[in-house]
Amino acid sequence: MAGISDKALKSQYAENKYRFNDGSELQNKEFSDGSGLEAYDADFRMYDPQIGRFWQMDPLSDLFSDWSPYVFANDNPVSLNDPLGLASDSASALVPAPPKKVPVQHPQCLTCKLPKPDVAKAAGPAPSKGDAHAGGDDHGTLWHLWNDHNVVTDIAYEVNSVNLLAKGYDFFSTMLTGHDSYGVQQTTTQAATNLAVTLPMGRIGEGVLLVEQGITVLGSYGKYLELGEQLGAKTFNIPDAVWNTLTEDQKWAANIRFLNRAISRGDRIVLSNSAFEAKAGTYFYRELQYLYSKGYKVASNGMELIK
Amino acid sequence: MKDILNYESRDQLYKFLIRDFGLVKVDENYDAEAFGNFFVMLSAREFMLKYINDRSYLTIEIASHSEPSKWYDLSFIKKFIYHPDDINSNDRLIDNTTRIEELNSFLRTDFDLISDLFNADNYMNTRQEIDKLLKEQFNKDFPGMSIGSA
Repeated sequence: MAGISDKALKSQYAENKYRFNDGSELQNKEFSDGSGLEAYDADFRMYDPQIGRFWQMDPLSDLFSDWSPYVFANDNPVSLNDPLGLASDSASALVPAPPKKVPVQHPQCLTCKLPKPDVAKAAGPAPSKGDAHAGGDDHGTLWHLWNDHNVVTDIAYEVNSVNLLAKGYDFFSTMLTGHDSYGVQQTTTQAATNLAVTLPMGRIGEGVLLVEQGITVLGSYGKYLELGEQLGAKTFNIPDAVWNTLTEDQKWAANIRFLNRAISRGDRIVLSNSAFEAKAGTYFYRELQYLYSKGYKVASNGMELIK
Repeated sequence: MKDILNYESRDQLYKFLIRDFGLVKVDENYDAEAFGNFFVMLSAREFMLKYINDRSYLTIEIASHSEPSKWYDLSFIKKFIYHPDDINSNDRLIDNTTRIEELNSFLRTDFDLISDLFNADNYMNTRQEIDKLLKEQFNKDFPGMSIGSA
């Protein structure tokens, strides 16, 4: 595809083989027969950007019966990604739900003193305007704009919550009613600002509209998946049917890719088991070794890694 | 002990404990959505054991009834008794079958000693000693990683 390649304008640039799909390497030198074939090497399949399809069937195709087994990123390459060639980020257990917002408490803010609605309500209709500020002691939009709960986090949360497929309703409720999923007031202006400010920051093809610092949980079986679910955090997880088809090197490569994503997001890394008790040789221990090599330190209680 | 990771044949791993030492199976779980991880929990008079497959790494963990939420890899206890200066040696290259056979052998020969270490009277001392050794080993294996260790 020389006509639209990065060499069309300035041929002296070194070729970038990692332009797309989160680190999948472009394979184009192998095809020296003038065929013009190009493909990105996802871990499990080859992706052909010229036809927008994988060359091989999805090993997990049984799980996504609504989609062609050759489809890339649910036909939505702008918002979604599939670096492993297993499942697009929106559907993959490798990339679970966005992190939950932990609102900052302001002692002078009546909103903050109100009990937050159950997170489960996030999927339902937002409360009507005024509920969150019952009592009438509203400090006003301007106060919130300048003093509100970590604005950057709020923006990130709001837009990450806008999973356009599943949570669109919640976002548009915010736009219409002025409340976010937690019943905390978000003015229409703010909601619109959130969208306007955040969309340009979104990384195309990342699977989420905004790369927000979140939480990643590591540990041993029996604890880390549970804790990850409790925290709404990301955890490394692959179904038995796929895991058992991988070689040891492929298993570790998948694990490394998961860790690299956590690192690149700047996630807070919480441990479900004490680092000091990690058995040498286990995946948990190897994860610690890898993060140690990346400059992480372990908190004195052994339950968190800090960069 | 063919295909030791096969959940269907898990009973082969610990049947001697039930038959010879009177342990009772109290819980088990298999998770096809997460690597095919599984565990089987057994209870003895003074401690509990868990045969656990975590991402294809099979091992045995142990906890005292005095603190049922705190599990140690059984190899730590073996090293604590025989080689306390090397409590957390890397056995990634040991295959699952060998690892389980060695730990089962340890259980057979040192069952009474393990019971003593994990009974209500001695557990806190045991825990304190093991935690101290593990932290020392961690600081040796990961110099400067633990905040406050340097």
